[in-house]
Amino acid sequence: MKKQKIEKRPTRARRAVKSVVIMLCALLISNMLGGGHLTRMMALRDGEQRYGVYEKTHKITSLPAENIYKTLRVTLMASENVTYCGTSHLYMLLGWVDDFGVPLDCSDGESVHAGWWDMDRNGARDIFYWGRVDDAAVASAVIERYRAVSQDENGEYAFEKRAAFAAELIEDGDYRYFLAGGVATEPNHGDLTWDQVYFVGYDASGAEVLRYEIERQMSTMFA
Amino acid sequence: MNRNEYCDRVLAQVGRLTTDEANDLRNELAGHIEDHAEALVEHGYTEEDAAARAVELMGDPEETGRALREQYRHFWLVIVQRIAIFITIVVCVQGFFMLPMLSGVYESIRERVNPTVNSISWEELDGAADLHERIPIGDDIVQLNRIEYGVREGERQAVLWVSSYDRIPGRRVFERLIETMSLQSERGETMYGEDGIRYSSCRSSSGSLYVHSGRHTVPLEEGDTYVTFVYDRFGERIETRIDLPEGGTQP
Repeated sequence: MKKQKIEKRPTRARRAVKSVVIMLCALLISNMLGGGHLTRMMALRDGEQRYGVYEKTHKITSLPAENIYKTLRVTLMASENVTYCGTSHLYMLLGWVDDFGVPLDCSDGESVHAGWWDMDRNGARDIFYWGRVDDAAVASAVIERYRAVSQDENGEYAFEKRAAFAAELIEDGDYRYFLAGGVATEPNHGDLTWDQVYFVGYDASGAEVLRYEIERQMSTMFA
Repeated sequence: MNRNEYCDRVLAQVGRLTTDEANDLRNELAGHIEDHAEALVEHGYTEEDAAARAVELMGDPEETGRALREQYRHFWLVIVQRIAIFITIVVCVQGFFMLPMLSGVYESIRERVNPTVNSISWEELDGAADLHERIPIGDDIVQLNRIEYGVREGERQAVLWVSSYDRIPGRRVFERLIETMSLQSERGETMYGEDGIRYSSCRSSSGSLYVHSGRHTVPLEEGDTYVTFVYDRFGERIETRIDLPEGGTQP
């Protein structure tokens, strides 16, 4: 009877190291090819690259946009000179992907940098407002939206306040940030023109110290 | 005690084993016992006696198991291996859908070696030269490909061809990088600055997710000897001086 040849199994350490090395190679190739990512943060960093944000940023806060995709989140990222608002969601089999993003250049010394972003998918609409406040006098803030209700003979519009809600200021180092919004209950324009959006800052006594018109930075129709 | 009982008692002492490890160890022990039994049969034992005697010769199963335990320590390494395998499978499935992006690697390498430069017409060409300069900007690289200057459309001007790509071939480049840069004269003038157009010296760039190419134009005055290519964004300013070449012809 032949001697049974027993194949010696590699040690646990050897097997673990081999698996980890193969995993790292696969991750590297996948990362180079781009597309899906293992984590949401990796997808957001890919988005930052796509929009030329070279500084290393960190997450400030995020809000869900489940109205658009169940896993979509709007994330505010920041560094010394950049405030970046990015979106990402999970594609089945592909992993986390970045959708779009908008960087704001905060290196010009202005006291407020802000934007708003409206999103639409199959009739579902979300709207988000974000920014950075460098004015130390601002203790609290409100976002106001105004709609044009009439136009005079010179073409000037008269606006009426449509909505107002508090914008929570988040302290991060020397700066404060805000990210607000969610499901849009009505369109962001009237019959005459686009709505105007303002960031209004109040000091500790409640007096208005800042009024800044937030411009639309992005409008996205998701597939 | 038969062979199976012996193996069971040894494995009971070794500690936590995966199914494959348990099967391999069992087969190894069984193999040793069979070898012993074969040798005993050759010495005149009956098969039954040889099998029983071979098991006895293996010694105390508990002692053997405790000795083998040393080889099967650190079960956490098995967990690490399983997690790594799972992640590899997920990544491979993701990567399968990304295979078309290998073209990005090719494009990026090709642009480094054979950059895109289209020819334009000049009423009077004063100088031209191929450039081989790369400007690193964050994770991206702006490659200066060629400069020509002279009289064109009745104006004295210089034209600079550039391309951009990520420093890692196959990764995405900031698609507006070329347009956000500006080509300036010695006096800081740009081609379109006065028009209030968003990008001051480049109308547009074109390309893919991985490589973009574009052309910058700047007005010149007689006697100008250089132009400056500027990146100024997010608090970072990079200026690259480009001397206007003497002579040279169009390719």
